[in-house]
Amino acid sequence: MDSPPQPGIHIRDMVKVFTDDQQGEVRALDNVSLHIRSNEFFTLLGPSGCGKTTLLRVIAGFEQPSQGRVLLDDLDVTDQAPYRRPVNTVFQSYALFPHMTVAENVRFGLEMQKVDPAAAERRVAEMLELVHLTGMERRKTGQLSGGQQQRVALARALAPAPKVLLLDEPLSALDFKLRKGMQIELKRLQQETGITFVFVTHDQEEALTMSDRVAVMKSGKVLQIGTPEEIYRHPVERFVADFIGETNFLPATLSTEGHPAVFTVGNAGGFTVRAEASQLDQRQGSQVTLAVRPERTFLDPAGHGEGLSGRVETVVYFGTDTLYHVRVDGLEAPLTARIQNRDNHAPDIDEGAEVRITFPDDAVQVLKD
Amino acid sequence: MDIRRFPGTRPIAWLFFAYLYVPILILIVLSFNANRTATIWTGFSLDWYRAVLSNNDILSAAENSLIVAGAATLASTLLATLGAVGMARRRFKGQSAVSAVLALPLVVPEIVTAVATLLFFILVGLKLSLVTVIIAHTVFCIPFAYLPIRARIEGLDPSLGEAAADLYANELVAFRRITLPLLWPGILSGAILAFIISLDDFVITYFVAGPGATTLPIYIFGSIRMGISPEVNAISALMLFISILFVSLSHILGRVTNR
Repeated sequence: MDSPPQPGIHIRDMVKVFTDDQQGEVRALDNVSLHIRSNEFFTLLGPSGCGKTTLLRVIAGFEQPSQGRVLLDDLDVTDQAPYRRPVNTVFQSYALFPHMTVAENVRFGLEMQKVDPAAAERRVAEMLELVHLTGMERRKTGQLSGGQQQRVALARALAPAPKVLLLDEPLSALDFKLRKGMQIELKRLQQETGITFVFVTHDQEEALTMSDRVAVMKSGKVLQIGTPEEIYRHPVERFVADFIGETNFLPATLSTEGHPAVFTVGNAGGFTVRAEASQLDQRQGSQVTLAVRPERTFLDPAGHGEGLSGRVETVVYFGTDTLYHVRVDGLEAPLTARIQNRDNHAPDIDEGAEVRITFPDDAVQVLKD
Repeated sequence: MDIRRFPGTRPIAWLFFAYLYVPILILIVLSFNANRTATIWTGFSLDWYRAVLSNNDILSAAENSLIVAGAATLASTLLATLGAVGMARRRFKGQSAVSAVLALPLVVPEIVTAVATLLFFILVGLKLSLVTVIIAHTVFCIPFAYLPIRARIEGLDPSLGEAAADLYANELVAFRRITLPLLWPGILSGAILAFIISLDDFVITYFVAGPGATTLPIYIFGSIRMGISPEVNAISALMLFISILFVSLSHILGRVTNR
């Protein structure tokens, strides 16, 4: 490759095959290549078994890849032992050393790096202040709450000032309120320290709220990489659209090629939308799937004019929003429309009402599959 | 239905405990008997304990027992620790078979091990002595030391070792600073168990002990052939006391550090 050296993490043609007694060979990573930029908050998102944790462990050095290279600031670290890599990890189980105090845990990495004891002492205090645990130095880790243990794990991993911080679903053991708080906290820490964060999660909301960029993974492959907005607004595959947020899927036929192309929605005909389909090689008359988010799906209670005609099946009131599930002839699943309750009362559409469904052209995403 | 509600459970339980402990209780009581005939009570006395502690044969047998138990405990615990750490480090083909083989000595009849060990020593031309006793004891103590250590390792979070490596500790330092301190309770527990098993062993020792390698159980067996003497009662009571002390220690260690 002749590209100029770029800082950050480069994963090149990564393959990891596990041999399992029951299932035989499992390809946990199937030819993954990606670039994580310096100082960014990068998230690996996917369902369990998609290979996200394996990729993290390969970067840390806990797993040896079957094929492929890991480059850290253009230095090949693939064959380096974990203790030689300038990379620290926050483990899902925290993995705090139970026979040590909070301060001893945080100091451990510094001690191993032979940092001068006085400087290490200052660094420990600084780290504990960063995660709001000042005064807890002499506690044993077993005496701490889940949220506090989480902070110790963070402080311990940040203390040696690594180039990269790896986080393996660190928030999954916390309750809802605490998790929300820690999300903001992590984002703040990343911005304050300027360290590259690689964050693994199966929680799409977490990924969207915290990340600079997200890689969506499935079955050992990276399906899409982009900013949260790109991933949410322009999913390229059905899986991505389905995994992140809620999505209505509609069958459609390409009626006029071009930029944008024109699609006829549903089997009823008559209702057309324009959408960009440049990433696809589609001909007139070919069948595609369109994805539309519920909040961009509009209901017209008058029941006239353009749109798909349907009948409201259920109405679910959510406080901030109301969800309408609408049955449309010829579609397998009902479509969902999410309408914000800006007024004091929910819109006047009852169960059983006949409605027309429309959406603006720019709400439509044409999917590869 | 609750099994404790079955009629007769309580008396059967009492019978069981009586069967188990009344003989031991009688032995302890008789070790304080003033009469030379061991089975007739005539009054309280500490004479037999005094006799035991001034009998050179008994003292040298006790010394042998302690040397053997000490050496065998040290060697077997070391090997068991290495084995347990190795077994936990990574999964390999045939691991469950190795696990089974490690625990097999616990179910092999001791007489078989005894004969086999003796044959082996003769075959390799090793002269029977205290050294052969130590070697034999080391071997059969390994599974006893191994099991508590293995249990302790299995209770540890495997990412602790990874966390140490992640924080720039090489394998040796990670073992010394993280694994070993966390394994201590298991290792001590295993060592204590090995010590008691070794102290108590008769069958294998009887086969592989050379001249001058008489241990306490061998001495007791030898002296009992000339009739049960009150000294034998006193030695047995002392050994019982030591065993109970060590088992309690091991139990307390397990409890304190499992919190």
